[in-house]
Amino acid sequence: MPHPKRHLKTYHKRTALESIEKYAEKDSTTIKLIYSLLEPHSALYTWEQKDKILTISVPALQKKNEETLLCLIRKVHSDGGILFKETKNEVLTSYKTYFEKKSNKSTLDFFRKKMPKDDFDALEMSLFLREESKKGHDISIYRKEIRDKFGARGTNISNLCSAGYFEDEFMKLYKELETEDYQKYYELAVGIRARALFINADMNVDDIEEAFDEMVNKATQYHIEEFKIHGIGKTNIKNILKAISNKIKESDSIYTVNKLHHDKNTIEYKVIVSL
Amino acid sequence: MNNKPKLLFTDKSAELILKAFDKGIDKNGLIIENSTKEPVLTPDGEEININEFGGLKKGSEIFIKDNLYSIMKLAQGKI
Repeated sequence: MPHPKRHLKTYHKRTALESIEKYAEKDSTTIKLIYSLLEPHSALYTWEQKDKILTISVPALQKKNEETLLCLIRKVHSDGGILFKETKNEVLTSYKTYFEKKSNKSTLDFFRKKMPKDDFDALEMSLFLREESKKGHDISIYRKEIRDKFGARGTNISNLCSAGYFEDEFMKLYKELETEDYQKYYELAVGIRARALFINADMNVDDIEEAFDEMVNKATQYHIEEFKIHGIGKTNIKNILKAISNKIKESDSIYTVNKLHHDKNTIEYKVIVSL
Repeated sequence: MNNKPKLLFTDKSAELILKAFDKGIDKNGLIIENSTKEPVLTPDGEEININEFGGLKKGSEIFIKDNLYSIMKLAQGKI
């Protein structure tokens, strides 16, 4: 008598390599290649279901099957995925969010065709960094990138942006002035750096006094009636207060100094020059 | 929603990424084509040192620096 047909289900235990390939193919997977060994000691990978993160131990998998690893890398690329440096992923994600929210779009749209391309690029970076700084993120490395890429002019744009000059002053003046007059003013503020003096941590009291004198000379040379001084942080504030105190004591001064703002972390002066 | 996979690599595993695409590093640290020994270039026509290698994107092989300017252009879809 024949046996009744039994529905047999066979199970195949996946190998680690097969599992890696399976997880790598899932939608929105983030694959992290790390160089340390995973726990348990021999593990080739870990899989975090919630965030879809596949972490692969390169030394462990390389030893077992480097070609699988190379194929996996090529597959992410051929599927249109990006291969990216992990230490920069946070800023990439942060910028994507900022960009998708159209943050500062109206400011960027306003200035896009009204300034040189490099200035616009520096402004675009600076506006993002201003938002990052407000969130308390350390932006010093990126400010250095602006300096490296765009020089002192770029650093000045970054400072002017942080202090709100683009929205509060340049936009307004562009609407009020003839284009030629605005361009002259813009160049004096951005290129000549005659509108504002930004104090940084590398400047001691003597440096600030010297920079102050340079600003007064520029004001005289270019017929600019006033400039501002900005400082952020305890040390800068202390140095600015001392330097301004010294400058006020000079008897032959052709300027008057007014403190506009002073709190725990920021200070701002307006200097009016007699032309 | 972006369903494409993303692969994150460390400085140490950067060379493995290059190996997967038959790229190497010359004595000055520049990323080169293994076949021609010519430096690979960014979309802006710049050579890339391994220390500033930010990533790789399809189309066919677009090399990206790790600076903020490149990151912004990448996020804006301009790379």
